[in-house]
Amino acid sequence: MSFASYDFIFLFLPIALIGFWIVQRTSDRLALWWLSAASIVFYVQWNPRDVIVAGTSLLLNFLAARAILRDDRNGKVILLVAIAGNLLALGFFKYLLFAVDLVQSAIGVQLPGPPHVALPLGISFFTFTQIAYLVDCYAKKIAGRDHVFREYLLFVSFFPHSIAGPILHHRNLIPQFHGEFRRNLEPKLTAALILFTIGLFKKTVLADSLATVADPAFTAADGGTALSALAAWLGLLSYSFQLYFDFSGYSDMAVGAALGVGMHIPFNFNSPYRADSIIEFWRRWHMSLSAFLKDYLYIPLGGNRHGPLRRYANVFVTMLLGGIWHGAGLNFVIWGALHGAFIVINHVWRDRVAPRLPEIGFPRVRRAAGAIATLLCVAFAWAFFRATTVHGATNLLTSAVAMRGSDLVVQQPSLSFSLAMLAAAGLVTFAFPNSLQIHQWVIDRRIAGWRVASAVGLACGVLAAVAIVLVSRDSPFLYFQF
Amino acid sequence: MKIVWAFVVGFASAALVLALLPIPERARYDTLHQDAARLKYVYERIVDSRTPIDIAFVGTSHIMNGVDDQDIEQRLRDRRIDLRVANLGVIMPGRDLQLLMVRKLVDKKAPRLIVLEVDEHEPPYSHALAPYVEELTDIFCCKFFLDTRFPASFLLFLKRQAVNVPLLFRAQQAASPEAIDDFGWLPIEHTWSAGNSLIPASASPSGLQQRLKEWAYRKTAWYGIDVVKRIKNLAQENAIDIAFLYLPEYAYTKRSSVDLQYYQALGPMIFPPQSVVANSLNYADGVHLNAGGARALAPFLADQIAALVTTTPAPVIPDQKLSSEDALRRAK
Repeated sequence: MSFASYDFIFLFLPIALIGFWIVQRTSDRLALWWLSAASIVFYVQWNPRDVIVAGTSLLLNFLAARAILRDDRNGKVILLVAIAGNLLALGFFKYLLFAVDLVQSAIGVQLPGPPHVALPLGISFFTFTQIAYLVDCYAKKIAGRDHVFREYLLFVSFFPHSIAGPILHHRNLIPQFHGEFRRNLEPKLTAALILFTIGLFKKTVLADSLATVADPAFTAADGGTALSALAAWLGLLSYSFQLYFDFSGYSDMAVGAALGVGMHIPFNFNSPYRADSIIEFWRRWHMSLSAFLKDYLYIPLGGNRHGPLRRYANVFVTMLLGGIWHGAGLNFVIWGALHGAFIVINHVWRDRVAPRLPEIGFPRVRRAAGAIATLLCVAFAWAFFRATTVHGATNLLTSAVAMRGSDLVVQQPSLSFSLAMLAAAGLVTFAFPNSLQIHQWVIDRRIAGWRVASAVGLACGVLAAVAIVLVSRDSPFLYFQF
Repeated sequence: MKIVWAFVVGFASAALVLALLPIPERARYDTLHQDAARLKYVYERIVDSRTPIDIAFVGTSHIMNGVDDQDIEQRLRDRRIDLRVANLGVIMPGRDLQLLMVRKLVDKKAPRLIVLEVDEHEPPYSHALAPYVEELTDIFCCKFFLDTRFPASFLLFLKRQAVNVPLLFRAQQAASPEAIDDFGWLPIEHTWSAGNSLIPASASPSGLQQRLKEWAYRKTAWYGIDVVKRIKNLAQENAIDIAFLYLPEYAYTKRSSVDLQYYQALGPMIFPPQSVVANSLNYADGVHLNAGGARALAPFLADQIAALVTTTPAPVIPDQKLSSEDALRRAK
């Protein structure tokens, strides 16, 4: 039951929301239990076996957090053990096969195969969310009296974020459990309707259509087919926009669903493809992950406190581990390393090279050039993110620059459709206000007057109709696999 | 609330515009591929082929795989009955699509006899392929509120409309009549691996389980029965005879409690001989006759059709509940 499914839109979500608003009349506690129950139902229906791993993780982390809060003397040891336990579990489920493969390749000996275990849904997200909570407990950002199982359960399992983020801090959500969700309700519900619609439209209309252009190109490249430059570029750019609309669409729907019960969860995107540098890109793309990596990896590694070289090394390691977080495979290692290298180059350029260059003016042109260069770098790296093999990625990238003939055919949709979809994607990305801005307009009550509200409502109704009609059963969100 | 009302109006307007888009009929059938292309063939056989259809077998893959129309036609010709037989079976159950095909038949071919497949129960839902080819009026033609698949079918219909917008601007071309096969039988050559000619004990539910299953069948059959009545009435209004062919799943072939009185009230029933349908060697799986089964059935069907088109069928008492054995005795 994906967010973009009829079961979720017509059954689960209405029951969860209506039930919540009925139950909250009785008591806040009951309303939180209701949401927790709904969240557990949402999680269990994916794969009931996953709930054993997720439930065990949740329970053990809750107990570990309580122990940290109660035991000042051994808090650090408990924290380290708990983090190690979380990472071991994540490693076992996500990286064991990959690690064995690497060792086998290195020593050239076939090792006994580890048991093949299915990756529990959302394990990367709920593991990071809980590690952040444990660290905050140790740092005394959470008081002992605020560590309540009912609230912790909902914080970790809350269905809008449990499967694919955003990665939450306790301060993002738990304070809203105490009646805060009732405040300023009308704009929240208006924003919920608008954001959920926009997210659904991004997913079913834009991302899924772009997938029909991108998928054949990557499948062919992975299969060793040499593509024409046009087919390769169409595939590469289509995937770049597909991933953006898929993940940001999911995030918009998550924010919208949470606002449906009056709760804010943070936005994960802020027009990343408009960024004019790779550093800026990572401030706008998957913002909750970037913040987590910065707070819990980059800064503990030393951040920028030990000179520029150490700083660049820290950035590189952080991005490399961020790449591995996305998946177990050489492609993700390369993708993370590429982004690490891009950011280091960006820092060197900004700190060492750019100040020595003469001022050439034309700030808009420079920003546009920066945005194009950033987009090309990001798209280049996406090839490794999307292809199933390193060879597939290099094959696609080679095809893109080799300018080979158009006789190398890939079964993509018609050229006019592909170009039209890319044009539409570009238009939405670069010319339209993003979800964060629209949300702000709603909160500022700029979408409150009769005419504006009617126009926005009508537009959303039309978008929702088209998006709902185009819901596909076979198109899960891309970030669910992480 | 303003925004909610505007949202509802926008949503409904967009859905209405989508629903009313005049996607050309032929273009809708041209979008069918792989297994669904069978429906395109049936459409072309009815609409584009110059070969008449006198006897039309309409039903699911049970008909498609189990009725050798060419052999039946030859056997009728051997009896100096010159009628064209067409197997118009389409994969998957769902009466609304069969009604659509019968409408086309009545319009284009005016057959003499329609043989409609029946089995142990009516599907409580519409055909999975229907939303790809139906008009808006077809979707609401029957008691759609009894169709358990209606919401999904309607959304699929709207999706078809949206996805096929480019077809509005594309020229349509009819299939070449010479390229359309006159006969629609799709034989399956392999034999079911059940291994023997006895009904496996596990395949035959008994006692309470069986009664519950059949009770559930009866309670969910309203939609299908309504459409079958419409097919019958349509045929009757156009002076076309209709008969019902019981093509059972293998597990049902030795059962005597199958409730088929609805159909017996509407027209003559054809019950295949036990020697054919109660022999697992005649099945490709638990449900479909294989090529051998279809060949074994063909002489019997030719006899039945000859009897139906040359004599007035014996009246059937509506309230009488016939078992397959009774019907077999009667047929003999």
